[in-house]
Amino acid sequence: MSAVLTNVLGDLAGKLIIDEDADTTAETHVTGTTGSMYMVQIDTREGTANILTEANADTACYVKFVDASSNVTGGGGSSSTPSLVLYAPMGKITTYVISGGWAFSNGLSFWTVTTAATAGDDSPTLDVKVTIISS
Amino acid sequence: MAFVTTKFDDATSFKIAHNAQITNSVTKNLTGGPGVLHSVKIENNNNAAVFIKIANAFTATSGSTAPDWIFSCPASSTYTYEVPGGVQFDALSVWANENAVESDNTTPSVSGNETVKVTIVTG
Repeated sequence: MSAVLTNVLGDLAGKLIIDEDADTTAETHVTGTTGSMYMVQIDTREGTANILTEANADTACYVKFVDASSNVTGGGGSSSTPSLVLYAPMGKITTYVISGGWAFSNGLSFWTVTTAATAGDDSPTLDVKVTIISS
Repeated sequence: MAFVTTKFDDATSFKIAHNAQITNSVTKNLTGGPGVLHSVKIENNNNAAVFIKIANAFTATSGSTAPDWIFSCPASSTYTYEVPGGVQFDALSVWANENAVESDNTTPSVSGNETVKVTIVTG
């Protein structure tokens, strides 16, 4: 499932981006313009709910962001170099707030993998939901 | 310059760590063990961007360790990353590079009165 963009009222951060199953496939230029990102919520609770019924060896995931509007590659040997990496352990909701905003002058693009290394290419075994509030 | 880590009162587990001029030299096991990361403030008055890299590990090597967190801050900017509720860690090893790429081992290119200050709050 690709990221869904919803425009809401508000001058500060009027864009809500939700990716219900964030994975190694990059979501590119999700706001369609330049702006600033103010909040990222990473929901990895799916892993806990299904841990007894599905193979789930993941211990954490990493949401990786790059300021680029095109030619973004998620994981793998040719992965784009992320300029912001946020760690989230499995089975929790982890929220990051950037009070002044994380400015992107080209475009907001991101992907999610289970290893910290840039070349990491494994998507989370179970769904990871990434919610972003941005301008 | 090295990090200075200070504990508050024994009644709380909070610690604050400050580095008035962070470099590519890795500060290993910043808080002396596990804890919860609450915030990272970067005051960058250098004329180049800086990337604060943190490994959830007792040790790390700038230029080869894949950081668990990369917090970026543009030139001449102050960014504060806050984690409401916190995120648990086993240990924090912290360093800074001028470039985001994992293999970069470049220390921030400060000159004159330029500084890159980092303040980290943990629980």
